[in-house]
Formats: sequence, C-alpha cells, structure tokens
Amino acid sequence: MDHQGYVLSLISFLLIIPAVLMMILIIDAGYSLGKEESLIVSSNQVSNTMNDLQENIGTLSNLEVQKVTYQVIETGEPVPNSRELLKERIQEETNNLINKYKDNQDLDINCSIISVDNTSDPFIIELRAIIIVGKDETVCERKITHQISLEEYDPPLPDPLPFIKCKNQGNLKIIDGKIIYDSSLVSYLESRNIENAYFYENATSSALIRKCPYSPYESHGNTYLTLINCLENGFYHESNDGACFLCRLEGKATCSHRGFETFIIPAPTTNYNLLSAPCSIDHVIFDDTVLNGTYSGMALIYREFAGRYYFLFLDNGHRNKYGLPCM
Amino acid sequence: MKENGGMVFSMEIMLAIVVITVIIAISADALDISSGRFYRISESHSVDIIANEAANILITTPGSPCNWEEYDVDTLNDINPGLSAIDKDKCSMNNVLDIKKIEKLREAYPKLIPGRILPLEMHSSIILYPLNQDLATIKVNEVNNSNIKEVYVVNRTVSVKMTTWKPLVTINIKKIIEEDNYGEKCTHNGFFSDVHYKPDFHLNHEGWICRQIHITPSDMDNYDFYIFQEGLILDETTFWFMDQPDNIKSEKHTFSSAPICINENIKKILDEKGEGVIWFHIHFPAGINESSKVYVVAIPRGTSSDMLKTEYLTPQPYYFVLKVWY
Repeated sequence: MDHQGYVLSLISFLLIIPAVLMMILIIDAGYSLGKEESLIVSSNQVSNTMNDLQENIGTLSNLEVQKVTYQVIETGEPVPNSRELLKERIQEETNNLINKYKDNQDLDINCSIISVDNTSDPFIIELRAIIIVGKDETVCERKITHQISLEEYDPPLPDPLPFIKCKNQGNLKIIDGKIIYDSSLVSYLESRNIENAYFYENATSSALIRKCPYSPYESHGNTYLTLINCLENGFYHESNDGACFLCRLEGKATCSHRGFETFIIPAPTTNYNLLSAPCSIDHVIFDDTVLNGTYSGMALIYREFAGRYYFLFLDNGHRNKYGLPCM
Repeated sequence: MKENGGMVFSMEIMLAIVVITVIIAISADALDISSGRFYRISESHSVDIIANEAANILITTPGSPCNWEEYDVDTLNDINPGLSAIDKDKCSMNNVLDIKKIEKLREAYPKLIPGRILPLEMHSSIILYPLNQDLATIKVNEVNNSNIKEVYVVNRTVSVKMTTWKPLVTINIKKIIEEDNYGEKCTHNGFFSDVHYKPDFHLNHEGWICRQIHITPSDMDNYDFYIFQEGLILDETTFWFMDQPDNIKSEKHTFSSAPICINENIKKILDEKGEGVIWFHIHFPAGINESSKVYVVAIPRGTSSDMLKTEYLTPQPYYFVLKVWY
C-alpha cells in the first residue's frame, strides 16, 4: 500500500480553508452593502410617503369641508355636530387613501385625525392629526396641524346659515353671489312674531364668505362710500356675537367661539319715514334661541339715489363698531 | 522490519508541500488584493452615499428648527440646516428651496456643514446653476478643487423660490377667462362716479378688472411697490389708476415694459394715515392677449434693480451641484 496519497489529500483539504474564507468575505461584504442600501431605500420610502400623506390630508380635508357645506345648503338640514362629522369624514377619506398606499407599497401606515376645531381667527379651521409610517426597522411618527382657510376657497364657500333658517319659508335665489330672500325672510321673522318684519321683503345678503378688507371697521363710516362698497360685495366681519363657521353648519346664529357677521340689506324704498325694525345683522335676525335674540335697530339711510332710499337698521353697538353715527 | 517514518520526508512529499505552499501564498495574496479592492469600493461607495444623503438632507428637509435662517449666525450651535421651503402648514415643499436659507448657509457655511451634514474631515462646495441663463449662478461655497484627485459630485434639479416678495395683486387673463371669475366689485358703481363694467373676454368686450390691496404702516416702511406686466398692449387703451372708496378718482397711467414703482402714488393716496385699502383699477381693451398678466408686488426695500424681473415671482429651476472630497 502507498501512504503518500493520504498526506496529499490531507493538505488538499487544507486548501479549501482559504477558499471558504474568501467566500465568507464576499458574501458578508455583499450582505452588508445590500443591508445598507435597503435601509436607505426604506428610509427614503418612509420619508416620502409621510410628506406625501401630509400634503394629501391637507387637500382632502379642504374638500370635505366644502362637500359638507354644499350638502347643508342643498338640503337645508343642519348637521348635529359639525366638528365630529368633519373629523369622521376626513378620517374615512384618509383611510381610503392609506389603503391605496398599502396596495402599492409594503408599508405600515396609520393616521388618526385628532380634531377639527376653531382657531382664534374665525376664518381659519384647524385640523390636527398623527401620522405613523413604518417599514421594517424604520418608523416615522409626525403630529401635523393643517389650517383650512375659508379665504382660500375659489369660489368662496357659501354661508349655510340663511339656507338652514329659511328652509321652509320659500326659495332663496342666488344671483351674482347674493341671496335674494323674496318673502322667505319675512315669513321666517313673522313665524317668530318679530315686529316690523315687512321691511325685509326682497332683502339681500351675501351668499359667499369673503373677509372684509376695510379695517379698522370704523372706516366704514367715512363718508359711507366704504360702507356702500362693503355692502355691494357682501363682506363678512369678525364678531364675538356672530357664530363661527362650524356652528353655522349646525344652524346656530350665535356661539361662544370667535365668529363673523354680515349685513342683511333691506330692499331700497321710496318711503323716507322709516321706523325701527330687526337689526340688519345676520346673527341678530337669525338668533331664535333666546327671547330677545332678534333685537331692533333704528334706520340709518346711507344713500339716496333717484328718489330711493338705501338703509340699514342698526343698534348703537353695531353703529359704533362700524364708525356710523349713533342714535 | 518495515519503517514508515521515512515516508514523510520523501522527495514527493517535499514537492507536494512546495506546491501547496505556493497555492496558499497566492490565495492569501489574492485575498489581500480582494480585501483592498473591497475596502476601496466600500470607501468610495460610502463617500458616494454620504454625498447623496447630504444632498437629500439639504434639498428635502427645511432644517431644524424650520425657521433656522432667522437666527443669528453666532447662535447656530443647536440647529441642523436644510434648504427646503415650507408652506403655511410647515410642510416641506417638494424640491423647492428657499433663497433665504441658501443665503444663510452661504453666510455660515463653515459652521453649518462640516460636522453636521458632512464629516469634519470632508471638504465640499455647493453651487446652483440656473437653467434660465438670464439669472445669476448662486455660489453657496465655492472652492478651487483643481488639485484634488477624487471628487464626488451630486447633481440634482431643484426649484428655487427666489424672493421674499409679496404679490398683492395677480391678474392672469387666461385664468380669468377659464374660470369666468372677474373678482369683486370696486367703488366705481355709478352712484358717485363712472361705472367700471367688467370686461367680457369671450365676447371681446373691453372693461375693468379691479382689485383691492391692504397696505399697513409696516408695509410702507419695509417694502417698495412695483407693477409688472407681461403681454399687454403698451398704448393708451390699457391703463391703470388707484384710489380709495372715500377718495374716488379717474386717472390714466399707462403701462411700460419695465417695472413701474408706485411708492409715491400710494403715499399720496394714503397720505398721513399710512394705512388703508387701495383699489387698483385696470382698463383692458377688446382683443386682449390671453397670455397677458399684471402683478402688483411688494418688494423688500433695498432690492437691487437688476433683480426686478417677473421670473423672480415664481420658483425657478436650478441645478444643485454638491461636490465632496477628502
């Protein structure tokens, strides 16, 4: 028997060791590089999805506010709790959006709408939410605040309050951004036994919410020209007494939040002898919650043209506010 | 008696050991070369990753805090820079950079980049090249790197929000025609003055488009006001003037190809009050070009005249070029 073969095979076996070492080295390097790349890709995916989602939630929340508003106007039915309703609808739309992300990408996404509520600016509604996006070991959580500005809608959002209050009193016509009440406002006031409601036959007010640029508000009383332009455009003014937008969706004329008000303008008349009548401010006319919610104001003639008198009924409080002469 | 010990030291075994040793030596050398190669690839890949991630951080994040550019250079110890512009919800605008942040980065580059976005030992330069040749190149940090052997370059296309201008009025004829929305009613309503009838661009009727702007004392102190136009017929059929509800006027000022400064017009109207709502009335003739635009813009005082271009009203595309090297 020849024993040389055993020594050679033993040493040949030892040759396998460097080959195995090299293989381990290559696999390890490849794995490390791959893991690094995968981490970067996951991180980018999570970050991009988070930013995308934040932007989309902003857009769809604006849209939901618009949809709810038009729905209230069409039906004339107030919503019981506008804040909760908007929160639920935005949450539902957000969940639909998240499912689309999940279908296309392997991500864990969760978005909770915390609240939809007022801010100190009555023309801004604030949405708060928490978004969590995760993939493998990468997780990102973000608390977002989105401001829904009523001024940024184009065309502007309509005011739901007149449509709710005058629902069963006749049809409201909307022409060129203005509501023409015909007899509906008189019917509404007479149904509440308000005196001198007849002055509001064919009254008009703004259909669209646009913020008044004329500030301070006392400047409305400078030669009345500013007041005339404000009335023609149907601008809305900040008010502690007037209801905020979310409460207007619920059919409230007044609320504890910082809100706004607009003028309801009686039709011009050839009759110079004007008495007192319900104050020509929307939250006064539509306040049916308390006994003296709709209080009177004295006539203020702000323009006379071709034998017709253009007037408002205002109490001293509102006259002061707009820089108009007090009684 | 047979003795097997001698077999170990036979010539064949010696030869075999030599061959095996050579093979092991070559393997070891190859392993060493491979390790060296992997190390270099890893290192360059690592620098590549660092450069890309640095560019990502600067382009896609607004920095921390997101208004870091308002801080004094000497207090910049706890901030992380980012160049992304943010919207009103403090959400990063996709691929849009803010010129204020770029300028702040230029001012404090040695403090903000090494050790925060890039390793301390790494050198870098950032230059933004405009696609529109009429605009100037933005040099955030320019270093002469002609003597360096290996430079890693990241090139991204971004938009740069060039200015902190406040557009007060934007009249886009094409948009008005599409949306059939001519805006609010001005003070010229026929009772105390002539009537400003709205134009009808579908039926080719002339008319007025009027917009109100609210000027505050702070605006008067910090801004200059300019009118820009694009595509208008520069004759007497297209004209503008300004007034207030309590001071109705009827004037005619024509447009020009250059921006028109209206500081004096505004001062005259507002007088001592220094604050108020001004109506800006523009008369458009029939047959107006659909691509016409008019802007009234509040521009920070001290802006140089070569910056007065309509291109600066909207974000402009630039190449963001980041170079890093050791």
